[in-house]
Amino acid sequence: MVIIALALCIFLMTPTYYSFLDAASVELFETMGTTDFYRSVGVSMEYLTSPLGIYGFLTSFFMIASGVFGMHFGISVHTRECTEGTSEYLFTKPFPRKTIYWAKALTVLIGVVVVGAAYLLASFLAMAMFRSGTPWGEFFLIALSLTLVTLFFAAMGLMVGILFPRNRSPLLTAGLVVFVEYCITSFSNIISNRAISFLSPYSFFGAAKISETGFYDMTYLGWGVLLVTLFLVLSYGVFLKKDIQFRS
Amino acid sequence: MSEYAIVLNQLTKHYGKHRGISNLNLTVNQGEFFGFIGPNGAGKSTTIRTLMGLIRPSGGNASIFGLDCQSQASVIARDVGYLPSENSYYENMKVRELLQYTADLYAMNCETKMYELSERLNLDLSRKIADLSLGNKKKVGIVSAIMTSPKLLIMDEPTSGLDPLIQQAFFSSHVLSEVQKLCDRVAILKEGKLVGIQSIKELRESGYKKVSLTAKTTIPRDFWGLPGIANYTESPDKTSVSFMYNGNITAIIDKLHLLHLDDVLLEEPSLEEIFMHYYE
Repeated sequence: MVIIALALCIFLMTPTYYSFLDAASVELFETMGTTDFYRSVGVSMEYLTSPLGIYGFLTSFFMIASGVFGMHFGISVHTRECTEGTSEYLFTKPFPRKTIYWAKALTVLIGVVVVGAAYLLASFLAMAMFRSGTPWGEFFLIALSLTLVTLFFAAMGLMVGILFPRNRSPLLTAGLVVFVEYCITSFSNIISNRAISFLSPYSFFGAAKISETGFYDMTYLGWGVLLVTLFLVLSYGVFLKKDIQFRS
Repeated sequence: MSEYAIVLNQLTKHYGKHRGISNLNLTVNQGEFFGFIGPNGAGKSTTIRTLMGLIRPSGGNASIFGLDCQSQASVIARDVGYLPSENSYYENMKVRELLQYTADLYAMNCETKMYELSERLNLDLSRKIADLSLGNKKKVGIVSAIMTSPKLLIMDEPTSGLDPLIQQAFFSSHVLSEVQKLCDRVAILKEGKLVGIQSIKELRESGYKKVSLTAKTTIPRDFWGLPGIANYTESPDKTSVSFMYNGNITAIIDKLHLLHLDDVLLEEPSLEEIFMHYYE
């Protein structure tokens, strides 16, 4: 469902928004161009005059949905065993916990990759409709950033799911965490504080920055990789040692 | 391979400040039917879950077939069939799918046994687990636990009978009639501690007799003055009393002679009554 929804939305909304903003660009610039709104989402009004700008603008919003998907998937892949009471079945079978951990992590990774691939394909088809030359390298990096953000939240979700296996509302948890992270990025953009931006993955992959520099910010990328590794190492270590929780 | 199927050595588990089990020591021989009895909260499931590697002990250790239950849980699991106390199966699967999944996890072809056991237990393989009654879900658990022909079967509070294919069994229950019928030996657990391990035969031959009597006059408690009286109960008018007795039988008969009795019954106590004696 998430795959279809995201793919369909980006495919339909990119040309639609582009035509809206193209027609109303002067009025919009006069009313909103000088406000902090565009700054908070990491784009400028000028950037939105290009199809890639619109695509990057929309992608920054779809990253919220994909982030919720990734984190929810990461959390629930563990919590469901507890809340649905299947832990005693699964963990008494002839597989070590490390195998179960990596099987679950791989399942989440595949889910994220499938969503990312569908989004990339739908994005490609949407961008191919514009006759003007699209910078495909930048487009690919922006499209891939959705997958990377989803992956970040999925890894965080794996950790949260293992630390709090009795969580009966993983969707609510994922929604709250993602919303807070998105707000952190908006806040750091508005006050131009780079230190705060390190707290949120949404800051790592700003579309306008990618178009400007032609690649991801290596500091953010390295920090992101470090955090994902930390989430995985921590969750793996806890998973191997922690008591299995049972439905209560 | 160890001569014992199960060894618990000072096994302890605490949940923060809450008691789980404390310093349990016991051995279960290979080929033995072993029961584990105690009321709810005594620590039976905690012990079993520690044996299955689901929870980590706070102290001591446990082994099955000489293998450590924590570090080699997945190796042990290959030879162990486990029936959890609560149904823990994927509700959106059909019975056949779940049993096939079990077989796949053991990398075994259990189709013949799956059909044979399902037929014997009258279990419909085509139904969804979510649609099954609690009893039928338990049947799914039993088939799942024994269709891989485990060397050891651990059943936590089973409500159905055991399949004769089983060669060894270790199970817990608070339903004593199940234990009485099936087990060679029992361990009695009270508030996380092992009260005793006895064979069913020894338990029944412990010398305890149940004495129930009704007299024409009141029977004061101090009338008896004999050692070995337990579980003493009396009617409000104190004309009817019953108790467990394991002292000199001639001494009690002599005492009975002194009473004007309406009725007297000396019988072997049920396992429940012997068991309750441990919980005084």
